[in-house]
Amino acid sequence: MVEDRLIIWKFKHGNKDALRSIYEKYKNDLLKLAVTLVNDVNTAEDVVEEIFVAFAQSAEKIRISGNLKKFLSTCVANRIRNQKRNRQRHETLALDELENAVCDLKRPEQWAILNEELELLSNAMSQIPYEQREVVTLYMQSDMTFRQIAKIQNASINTIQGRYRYGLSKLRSILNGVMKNETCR
Amino acid sequence: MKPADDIKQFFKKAAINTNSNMDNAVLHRVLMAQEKPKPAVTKPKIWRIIMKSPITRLATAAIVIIACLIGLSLWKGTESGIVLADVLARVEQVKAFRCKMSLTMYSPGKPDRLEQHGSVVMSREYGYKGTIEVRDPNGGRVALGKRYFYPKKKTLIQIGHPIKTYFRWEVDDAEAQWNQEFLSQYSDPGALLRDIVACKYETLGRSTIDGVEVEGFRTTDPNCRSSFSKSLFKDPQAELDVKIWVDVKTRLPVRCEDFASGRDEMENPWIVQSITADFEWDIPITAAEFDPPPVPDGYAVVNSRPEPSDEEAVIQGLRQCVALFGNYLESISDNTKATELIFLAIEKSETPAALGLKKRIKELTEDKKLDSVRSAGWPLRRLIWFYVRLIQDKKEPAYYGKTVTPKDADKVLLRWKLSENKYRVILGDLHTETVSGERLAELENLIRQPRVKAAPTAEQETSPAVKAGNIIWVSDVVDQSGDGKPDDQAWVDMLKARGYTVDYTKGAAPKEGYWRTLDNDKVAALNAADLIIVSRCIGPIPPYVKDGESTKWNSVKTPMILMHTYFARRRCWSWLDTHTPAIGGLWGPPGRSDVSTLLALVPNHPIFKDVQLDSKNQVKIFDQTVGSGKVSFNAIADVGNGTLIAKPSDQDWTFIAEWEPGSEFYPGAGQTPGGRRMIFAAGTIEWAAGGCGRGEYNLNAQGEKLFINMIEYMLGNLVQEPDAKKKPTSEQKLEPDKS
Repeated sequence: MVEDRLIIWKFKHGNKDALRSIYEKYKNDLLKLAVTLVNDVNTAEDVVEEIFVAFAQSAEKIRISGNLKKFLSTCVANRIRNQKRNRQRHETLALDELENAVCDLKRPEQWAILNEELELLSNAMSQIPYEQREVVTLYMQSDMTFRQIAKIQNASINTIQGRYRYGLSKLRSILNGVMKNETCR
Repeated sequence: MKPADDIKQFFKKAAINTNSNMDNAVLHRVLMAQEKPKPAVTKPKIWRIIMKSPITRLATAAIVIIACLIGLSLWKGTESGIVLADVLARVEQVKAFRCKMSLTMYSPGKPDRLEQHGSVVMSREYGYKGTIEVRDPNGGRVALGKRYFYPKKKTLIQIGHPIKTYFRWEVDDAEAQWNQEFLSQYSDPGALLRDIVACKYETLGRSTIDGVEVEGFRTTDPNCRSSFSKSLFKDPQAELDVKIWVDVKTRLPVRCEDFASGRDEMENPWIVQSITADFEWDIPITAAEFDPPPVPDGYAVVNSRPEPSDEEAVIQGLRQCVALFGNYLESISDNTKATELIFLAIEKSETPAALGLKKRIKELTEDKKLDSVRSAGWPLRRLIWFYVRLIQDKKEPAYYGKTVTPKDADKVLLRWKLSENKYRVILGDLHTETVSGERLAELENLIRQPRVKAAPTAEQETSPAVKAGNIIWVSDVVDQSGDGKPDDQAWVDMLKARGYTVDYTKGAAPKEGYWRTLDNDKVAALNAADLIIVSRCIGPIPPYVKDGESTKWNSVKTPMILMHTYFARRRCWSWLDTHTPAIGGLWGPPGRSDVSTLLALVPNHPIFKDVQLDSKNQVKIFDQTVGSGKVSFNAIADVGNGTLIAKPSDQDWTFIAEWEPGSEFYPGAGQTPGGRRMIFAAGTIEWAAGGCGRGEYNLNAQGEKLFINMIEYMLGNLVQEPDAKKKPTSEQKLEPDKS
């Protein structure tokens, strides 16, 4: 925490090394979080890059009183939720929007490299409702409390705990199925 | 083992690594972003602005007061209900009244909360006066300000207590008109009438408020644009609940409640509630009550609008540009760039002012350096603010820093509209004049006159080619429209009809274009051509991008016009520093954004020769009846090391831009053009709704003229004199003209 506070202070004063340290320290956590939430590496990469860019540009405005990891994780979760919301708003999609999305999917170089467990986890997570997925991921991976997640989702703690329980149960059953199939091969 | 332990273990084992090349590239972009403040195009968080700026708070409160008053006329014309018609008639007869209002705004889950309270007196004879208070942290109230408006005298007085300032200004006709237009959003009786009649409303029956028997009416119709709370955030999906309670005896309003919830431009959730109550109708008012308030002790008096009429500050800013850079900036429309520009001047400029500043900050600590540079950049910052404000206020501003120099005493450097047919101009030598529209057109024609060499005659235009014009047309020859012809055939036909030789080699099948996957022979053919045009009729893109294809295409030495804007993205050919999918022009629901009008940012560029630009340097170039009527753009106006030549008139997007060979497309792009490159957003978007072609020919006569000029320019037949289009300096490159 103290270390983070010092880094944030330096970062707010325009120190490049501080930003580099923040990037190095949290990029993997954020990528993992984003991959788990969206089950698409390219989208996850875009989100995390955008978050870091926005973070870098907002040094003067940012007020972080708590934990930097939780702050950045919240940014990632919010950004993904907003993207989903925006996408839902579009009633029609031009064919080229769909087709040329492939450009991103097959781009020459990929930033994030997932291990097998993360691929399994991300696939399994994509099968549970988004709100449950977000609760499970933020709780398990970003060390956020139910109270903090409740704030993000604008719901009561009871609702969040319910989503956690349901999410966990579904996740377990999906993962168990996957494991069984893997073993039977 | 706890129930969740197994899953926790799984989460722990799930891991991610990063590719070091990409890692460095991303980190580089992040570090670059740290140097740049947030781009100007980023929409502000309205919530934060309102909460933090005393002036905005004051202005917001003032608007609230007006809106509260207008809220009464909200029900005008709702003749569909007898009671409302009666209310309307009675309110219209009232000569003066007093009421109190409160406004609460908050964002769920956030500690900030804005609470305002105000009282207002409105007299049809004398005008408006209102006070505004906010809650202090101890639960009391703090006076924020007062506002007086005298419609007959066209005078506005505003007292800001937190900033101890007494503003008094007289609005001229243009400003009065502007205010009228602004207020008509809420007060236009015709619009309101139509609005309310079109809305669904219900009666709430009888109730009692403070011992008074009232009858209520309610609307939750999202189309009710007269809701002030909703109008604050302009979220079309906001939910609202508007109620009005009317005294059943007097038939006059007793209480108005306006509740709205939605999201602001940054997708932050918000809730706004305003209540207007404690009405006192037909109160006696004397002229003395509306006497201008005295200036409180210790308050600064501002007798004119601080912005945008502070011409002197603008001239100081322009002088600073010349002092620091030796010339005017190419663009002054990005209000985030001032500090960055000063840093650049310190690093690169050799002017005495830049060297002096460099010397002054040499011994300072990093923090002090930044403060010092910021402080030094104040005139520049004010200049940019001024210009941005002119754009926001739709004062028809134009800035010609790209072409006008301090020696050009007869050329307009900056202009804006004062009133109908009246413009203020600052000329190159920084003297100012107020001129008519006709005179302005004459002055601007001096800038616009293209200085071209070997300009083709009209004859040459129809039978071109001072240089032969062997053009390779790169296409996937898709027939999305289903008419049995490639969708982009008409482009090729038009060029052939004008005498160009066009290589329209088709691949094995549609969507398998010949030019996919370049081998040595194809690269040689591309290099041997005079011009390459990459059609909008391509898709999908990856074969042109993956496995080093991007570098092969970018390395080709032949000039190239790219009409498929998707190719320009960072992860494709890296011409533009964006990976945001291109936004379709005219995309989305009707009325969302009409980007059919091109705004020339370099109006004296040879490609605009004989193109009929209007007085605002605008021209419509598309025939929107073709296909989907839509065009793809890249939603970015910063073209890095290139020059933004044109943008849609109402968007900061790339319409036409060019890059010279030899420099990276933008810093960090990793791609460098082998020959001149130009992007031109044209050719239709195919449309999921069906039957619309991909990259169909959609130019009108002006568009065709522009396109032919573009080809001639790229072929080298239409040449710009060196001084007519200066190569941007490193400082200027930072500022694409977004105006």
